[in-house]
Amino acid sequence: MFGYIAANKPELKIKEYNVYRSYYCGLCKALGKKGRQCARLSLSYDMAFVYLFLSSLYEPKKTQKNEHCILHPVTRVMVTENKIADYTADMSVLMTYLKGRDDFKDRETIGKSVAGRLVMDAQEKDYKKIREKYPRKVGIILSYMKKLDEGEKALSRDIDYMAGNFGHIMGEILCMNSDIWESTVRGMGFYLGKFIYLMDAYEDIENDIKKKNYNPFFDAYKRLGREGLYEYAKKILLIMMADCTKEFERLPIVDNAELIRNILYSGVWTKFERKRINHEKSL
Amino acid sequence: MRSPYNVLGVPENASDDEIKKAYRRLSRKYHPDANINNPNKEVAEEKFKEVQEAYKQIMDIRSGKGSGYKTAYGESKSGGSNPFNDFDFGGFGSFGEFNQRRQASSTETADEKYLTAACYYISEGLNEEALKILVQIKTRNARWYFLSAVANLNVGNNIIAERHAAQAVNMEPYNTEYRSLYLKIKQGTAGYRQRSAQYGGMQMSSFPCVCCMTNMLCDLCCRCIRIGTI
Repeated sequence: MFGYIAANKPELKIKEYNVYRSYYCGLCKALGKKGRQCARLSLSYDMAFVYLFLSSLYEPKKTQKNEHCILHPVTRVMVTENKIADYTADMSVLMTYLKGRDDFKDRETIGKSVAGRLVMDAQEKDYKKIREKYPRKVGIILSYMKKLDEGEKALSRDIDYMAGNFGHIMGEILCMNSDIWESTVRGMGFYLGKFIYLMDAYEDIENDIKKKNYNPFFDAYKRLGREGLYEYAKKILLIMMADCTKEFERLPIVDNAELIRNILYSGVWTKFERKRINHEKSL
Repeated sequence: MRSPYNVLGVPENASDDEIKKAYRRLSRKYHPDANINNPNKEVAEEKFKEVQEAYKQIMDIRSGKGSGYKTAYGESKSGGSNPFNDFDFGGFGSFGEFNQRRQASSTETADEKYLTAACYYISEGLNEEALKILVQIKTRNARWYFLSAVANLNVGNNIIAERHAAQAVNMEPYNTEYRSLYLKIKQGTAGYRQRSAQYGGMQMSSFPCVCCMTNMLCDLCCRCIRIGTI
């Protein structure tokens, strides 16, 4: 996905950082178990967060051990494994496949088209298996992707509607079980998904204007200018995280709660501010 | 029937953190996976459900959503599968607009009748229907903006909700109900900002790692540097 749901690493305790890494590596391992190394390309901070979050909510039996890693030939890395890893790995592959398909269809750039096609071909078999395993979930996600597609073609300026479509997709991914926590988890996923969508749209606005691509912030940018859009985007992204964390705080998460809070209250802003600082440096 | 606080074994003034820890302590004890070999596993399962319900009830009360007429899974009276029927804007349904159920009077304009209808739909949890009505009303007064804000908030359209809540207050600054809604939204973001400061704030971290490969490379280097300096 987009890598926004990451930690504010300097603020983490070493213990928390190690746990965070162990979930990231645990997901990488679960993706590798799918049998094809290319599945590991689906690894992202966002999905590592999903793995960490669901594990902390459901507290399944887990194993934590030090293992070899191809990218860390010197020291072993701690890896957390539990049954939720498999679900998260499936969702990672699903999202990467669908994004690849989207990029290929959009034909925005030759590079993206080709990359999209490669991803699709590599993960076609896995995608079919996932579609059979979670027919209702995949069906719902596809319907919201269709709404996103139609909204883009119609040049929709309804930010809530467009971001909400991705929000529903994220809610569907986060909602592993239909149980007592469902509506809260779904709500949390919804606002997190809206945050991701809006963050991505904000990051891409100038590029999209140059290439005449769809961006829900188009009107706002024309009306407010770069500085104005920064303030506006910050305001609505803040509303999004406030509502997301309100849902999160309703859940009985005790294990890794502080790590998750680091991510949701601080880490998610990392890229947003970096863009601003980079822009100021270039002036 | 025992009070939910009683079920969890905590006092009513326990902090959210204490409630969560109490839940975990009991749920770990009564979880089906932990009671596979227990001859009384049905009893354990009943207790597990009781503990879950008690926790949810406490959280619903504390966040102002109330236990109302909602079922354990947050389904609204309308029986829809819309998860956002859970977003009942906390407590606003219990006074003012939504309790009055104004009688339609012959002096009401068509627009006012529509607003009353929208108001009714919102109180019944039928927010999409309310929005359909609101969109057709041409005269947009403060009450329109307020009802639009509430309905939009309930379906997760928090961006437009904030804008309309602000507009309602702009148009009728002395209306306490409109101010309350707007303040509630603002308090949410203020509370978030405050909490954010405890975790490093809304600022850039100094590890500029974006994709997996770059991150792994950086971590490898940083680990070596860290090992060297500790």
